[in-house]
Amino acid sequence: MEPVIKIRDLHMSYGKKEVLSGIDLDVYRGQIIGYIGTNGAGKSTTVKIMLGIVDGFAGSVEILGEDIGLGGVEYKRKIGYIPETAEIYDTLTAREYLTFIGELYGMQAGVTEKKARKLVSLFCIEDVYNSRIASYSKGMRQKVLIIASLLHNPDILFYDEPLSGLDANSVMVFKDIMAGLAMEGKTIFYSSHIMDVVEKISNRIVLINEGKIVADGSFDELKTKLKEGSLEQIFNSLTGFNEHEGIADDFISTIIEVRP
Amino acid sequence: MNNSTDNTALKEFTILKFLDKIKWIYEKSGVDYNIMRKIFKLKLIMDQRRPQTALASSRKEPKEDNNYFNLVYAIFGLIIGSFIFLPYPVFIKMNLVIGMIMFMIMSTMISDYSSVLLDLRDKNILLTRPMNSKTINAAKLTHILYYLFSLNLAIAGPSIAFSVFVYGVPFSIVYLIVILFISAFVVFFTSILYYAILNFFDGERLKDFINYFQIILTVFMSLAYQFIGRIFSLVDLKAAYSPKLWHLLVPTTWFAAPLYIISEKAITPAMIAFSMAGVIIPVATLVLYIKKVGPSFEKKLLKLNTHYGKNEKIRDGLNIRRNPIISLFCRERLEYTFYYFIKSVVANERKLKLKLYPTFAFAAIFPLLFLFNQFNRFSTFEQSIKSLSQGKYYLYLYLSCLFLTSSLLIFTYSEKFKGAWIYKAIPVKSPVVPIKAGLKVFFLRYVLPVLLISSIPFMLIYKVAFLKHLLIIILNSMLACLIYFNLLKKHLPLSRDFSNQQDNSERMILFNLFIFGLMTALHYASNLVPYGIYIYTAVVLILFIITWKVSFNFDWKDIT
Repeated sequence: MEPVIKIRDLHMSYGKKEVLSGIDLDVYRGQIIGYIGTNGAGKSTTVKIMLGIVDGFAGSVEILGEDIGLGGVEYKRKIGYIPETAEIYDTLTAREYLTFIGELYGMQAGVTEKKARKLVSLFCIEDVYNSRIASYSKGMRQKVLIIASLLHNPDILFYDEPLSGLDANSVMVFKDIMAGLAMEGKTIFYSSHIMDVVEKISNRIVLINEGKIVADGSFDELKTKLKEGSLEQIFNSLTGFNEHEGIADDFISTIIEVRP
Repeated sequence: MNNSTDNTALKEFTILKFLDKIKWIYEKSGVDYNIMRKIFKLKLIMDQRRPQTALASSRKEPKEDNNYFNLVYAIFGLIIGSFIFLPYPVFIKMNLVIGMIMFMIMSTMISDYSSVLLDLRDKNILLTRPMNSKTINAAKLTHILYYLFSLNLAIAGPSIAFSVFVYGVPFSIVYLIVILFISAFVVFFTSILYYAILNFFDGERLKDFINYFQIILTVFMSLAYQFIGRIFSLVDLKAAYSPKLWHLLVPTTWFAAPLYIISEKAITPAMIAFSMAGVIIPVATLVLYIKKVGPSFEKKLLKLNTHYGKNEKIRDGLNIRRNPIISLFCRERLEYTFYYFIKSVVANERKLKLKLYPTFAFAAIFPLLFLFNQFNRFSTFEQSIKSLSQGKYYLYLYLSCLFLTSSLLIFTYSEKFKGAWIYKAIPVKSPVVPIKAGLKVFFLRYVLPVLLISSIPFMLIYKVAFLKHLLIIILNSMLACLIYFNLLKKHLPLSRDFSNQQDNSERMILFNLFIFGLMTALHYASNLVPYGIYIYTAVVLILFIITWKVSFNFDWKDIT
């Protein structure tokens, strides 16, 4: 089976600082990749390169068979993206924004609008469909972004902390949506810092540290290989962090000392 | 460097010391004075750290803007001050002076300090700590009052100083007290007004209200000098003043009356009544504020970011059915989409509107101002129309073009410039489409309508013959925009941050003056040659088409 994403020897530097130092990765249809790493490990950079937002990388990146280094944009028709910070032209209403996004992918305005309205009502935010996004709560904004990433029925989804701000019920719905989408053969590239979620939803985990992939496999594989009980522990041991208990103890004793 | 910090620290110390003296006012109204003082002091320190602007948290506009406004305030202060020397009856004169001062203060309050009053960050940081919301609100108001009073002094300063010479020291002292009362009245009145608006409407309405007020203010401030002179020629100011009951409703009379009493040493019942109103009403707003508004103002602010979604009338920029006129100009589907997108964002974004609309207002008003100046010279209306129609005054419309084209780049800015990631995430082969759509929005939605509006009076004067001139003017403005666009760096629409606006505006103005000067001269000259006007039209049209064809050969790489 051909990989939908094929990354070979990917390097990227900002000035002198090398952020990615040789990433090799093959991703296949129907996979939910949990893409994790410490702050500044290069997760977002990898995703932004694949989206064509960041230029100037070395190595090759192929998405759906298209070498994105050549500057083509056709592959973008098949991808959806949720950025980490919910940046959005929030002076528009959800109706305007979503219809606009759909049209950019070549959908008819009327069709998009109907689809957007349906999805919005399924996410229980139809009350604010015609209000400015600026007046939304964080979770409502996130729902708009989720819908915007899916409207055009893409094959690959790049999600950066997609659950932030969602309430527990919506999280449950969204997790089921992701699982269902994977069943449909869609690929989800999921970056997050919340290990419990990554552990549960991903069928493959890729851990990146200092610009390199340091672990790659399903949760069970990593568990047996590294003899750790949870993804959190795996994460700690692979990123070389083991003094968390000491730090916590010092922290608490400092607080108790100064209580007035 | 060190020196200046020391100085400001000293100033801050003085105001705090002054507050310590009147701390009973705060304590009487249920404010925890010590905490209020700490918050206020912190705010003063924070203001110091942002040296460029008086209250940088509220005004994120670039530095030049602020300097511009300071200059405007200073000039206004001097103009108002010079009124003191005018040989008009003192009551009428002071009404005018105080009216202008109140307008300035009220506008500044609404446009610059609203964001301080409506700041929600305070709430999250402070209200979670053990202190009541009255105290927080008191700190806010003290902060605003402090700046507003300083500003008020700056504006009224020259007139206070001049009044010493004209009316003597007691008058100036009463005047100074009046200024303090005006500042307080404006602050409390605005708070109560906002409170009332928030009571009946949602936060978005209030923000719209403030936005439109700011736009009107900017236009007014820049055009006021054109009008102030005319007030005097229009109204017979020397006529004896006879008080009417409804004058009690005009706030300027409240504050002018005590000044009349002190200068004329004449106590009439009307003046007593006005002066009483001048004391009672500000005090009443203060009491109303302390009793009703203050305690729950911060809670009402919660509504600021909420929006009643249900049953709202759909009033958005979406056009599911394609608009045939726009389709004519945007043949490509994608371009049409971008057209509507950019149009909707610009129509909704308050900050963008604040930058754009005043310029468009100038563009519409300026040719008219010049035209009306011509009227004064002639005797009757018919005669002046007749003699105007002999001239070539329609060339004044190039003034509109001058203003309009200068805001070409505003469209590349947005408050939400970070939302521009979507341009990259979507399958759009070249940046030409969105940029072209942006240009078309600029032209069709803004330049063209403004030009058409300001040509109405010319249409009345020159009748049908004017149409051929209008056509050239429109073509010329389009050509100028396009030349301009080619000379400048390319940016995606709505993709840049206002706070580091770097367009070289001086060079832009020079270029504009040059190109429109040339266009105007040629337009004038083409009238002197038979068929010249038609040849000129053809030449401009051909130039435009050629420039259009070569303008859009750029790629993602050329976008900065």
